[in-house]
Amino acid sequence: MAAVGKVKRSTRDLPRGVERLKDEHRKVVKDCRSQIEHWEKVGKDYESLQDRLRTLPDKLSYDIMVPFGPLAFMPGKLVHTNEVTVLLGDNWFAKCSAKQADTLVEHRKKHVENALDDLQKVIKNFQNRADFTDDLKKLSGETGDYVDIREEVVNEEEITKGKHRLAHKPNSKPKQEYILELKDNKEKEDEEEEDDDDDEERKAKVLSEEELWARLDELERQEELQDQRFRLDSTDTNGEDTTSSSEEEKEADGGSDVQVNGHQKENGWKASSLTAQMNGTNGSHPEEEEDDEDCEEETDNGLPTIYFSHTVEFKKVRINTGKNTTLKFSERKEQKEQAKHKKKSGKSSGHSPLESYKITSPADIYRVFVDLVNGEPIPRKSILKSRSRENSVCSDTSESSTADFEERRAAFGRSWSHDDATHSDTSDGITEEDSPTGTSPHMNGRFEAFTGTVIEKDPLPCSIPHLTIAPPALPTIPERKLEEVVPDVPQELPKRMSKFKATRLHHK
Amino acid sequence: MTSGTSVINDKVLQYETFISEVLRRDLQKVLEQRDAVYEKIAQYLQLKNTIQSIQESGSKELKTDVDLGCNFYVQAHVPDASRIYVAVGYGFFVEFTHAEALKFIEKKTNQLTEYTEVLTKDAAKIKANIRMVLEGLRELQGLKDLPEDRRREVF
Repeated sequence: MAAVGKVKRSTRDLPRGVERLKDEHRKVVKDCRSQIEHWEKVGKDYESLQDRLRTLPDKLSYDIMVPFGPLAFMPGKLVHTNEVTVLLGDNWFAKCSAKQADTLVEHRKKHVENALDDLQKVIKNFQNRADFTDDLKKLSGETGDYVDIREEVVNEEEITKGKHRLAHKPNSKPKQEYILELKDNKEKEDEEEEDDDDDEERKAKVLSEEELWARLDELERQEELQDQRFRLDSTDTNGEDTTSSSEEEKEADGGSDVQVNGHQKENGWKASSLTAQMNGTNGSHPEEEEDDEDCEEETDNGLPTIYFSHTVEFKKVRINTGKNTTLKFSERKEQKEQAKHKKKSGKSSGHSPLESYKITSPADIYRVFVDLVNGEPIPRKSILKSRSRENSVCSDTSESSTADFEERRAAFGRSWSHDDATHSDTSDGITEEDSPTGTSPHMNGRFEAFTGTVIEKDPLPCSIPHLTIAPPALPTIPERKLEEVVPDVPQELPKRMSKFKATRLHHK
Repeated sequence: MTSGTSVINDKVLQYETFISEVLRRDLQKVLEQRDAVYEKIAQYLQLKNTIQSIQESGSKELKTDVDLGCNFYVQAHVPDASRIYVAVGYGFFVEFTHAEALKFIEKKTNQLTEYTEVLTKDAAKIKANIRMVLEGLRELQGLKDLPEDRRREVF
């Protein structure tokens, strides 16, 4: 590319530049030739001097005309022919023999020869340059090759030879130009290909960047999904807690009957498996909880023997309270049964034993009413019972749905541990009572309820009879509601929390 | 008008060539000749000095160095320095005594000086001719000079 540019520039400046270039070359050549003439003269002088020095010592003296300047002479003789005085420069002279003078002349002749050679080289270089300028003119087309060749041939043979060579050169040079053009085209094509490669690389980078962004988006989505799953897992754990609590209640109700206990256990296992399938990621957790439950059962089996003495005390309390205490116990049983049914329906587990329980629940309710009516004909009590049921329903739903209760349980972990122990003791007592009576399971359940309520509400019966004696119904209703609601919440909460805590303690 | 301009251009070229090829060349030749004459005068004066120094020394015998060329010198002995051969022109040499030689040199230098004066005058004439031709060219080309110059020309 640079060469082409140079050629173009030179072509533009040909008319003036070439002429000036030629003039400069001519000047240089003239100067060199004049210098060459000078040095040639010097060389000749030294040669003649050398010859004279070699022959001078042959004689002792020569008769000569001694020159005084270029215009006058005197007759005289040369003496001391072997003594020569030589000017070394700066007015310094050296006296030496003829042979020594000869060596000095040789040294100076060598210097002269070197100078001549250098000048010859310079002349050749500038002649070549002049030829080049002539070629440029021909290339530009200012002069016709044919005409120039003829003139040159007429002049001299050597010139013609050189010119013939020149004639061939222009033919080859344009070919070179074409070749250069082709090369330039190829280079351009290569550059285009390189550009394409760059574009492809950029596209690859862009794709890679796009892929990176897509991956980032996917990772973000995965994180969101994981967060959601963790939340679901926490809710599932709540469900598990409810299931475990329901299972415990069932076991307590079942008492000594082996068949009933087996069915209940099977139901619990199925529920746990369903929860595991729903939460694939949390397969290990329910297994651990199941193990903990087994441990609890074992402990329950060992304890009943110790608590025979405590049951005797509970019986005494029942006798003292009388009919009022029995009513409260029945209400609590109903609440528990309703909670169990709701949990089962929520899980969507349709089994025959569950249906039998559902069917039994309304029968139990009617039986409760019948028993109460038979035992006590007073209508006021019947009204109070219906209102208490509604309150219990509300409390159950709130407990199951909300998550705040879970947080509270976690906060009160240590305190509930004590409650757990107390509840376990109560359950053992119930089992002992069932074994000696030998009555139906439903009846056994009623007696069990009696025992629990007696322990918790000793101070309450003193206040209750006063209220019942009073004629106004309104003030008595809210008091009873408050009393009923408050004890239910703590009873259920500690049970659920107790399970988690027990599992943790066992792990530790 | 076109023919007139072409004629004027041709005349201008002729005058310019006359100046460059004839007048300037003649001037150069005259000056070169004058320089040669001056050189000759210088040589004779130098010879005069040497002869005077020999007379003052008063010795007959003389020792000197002869240049063989390229500043290589050899001793020479002159037994009789009373006579000297002097070039009088056209390659002839005449034997003179010191006094005679001095007289000849004086005459020769005077003659050469006169010749140089002639050459100087010729050179001046040639310069004047060049000036005239340049003025003519100026008029032909329609160039004008300052009025002061015109007055000088009149005088």
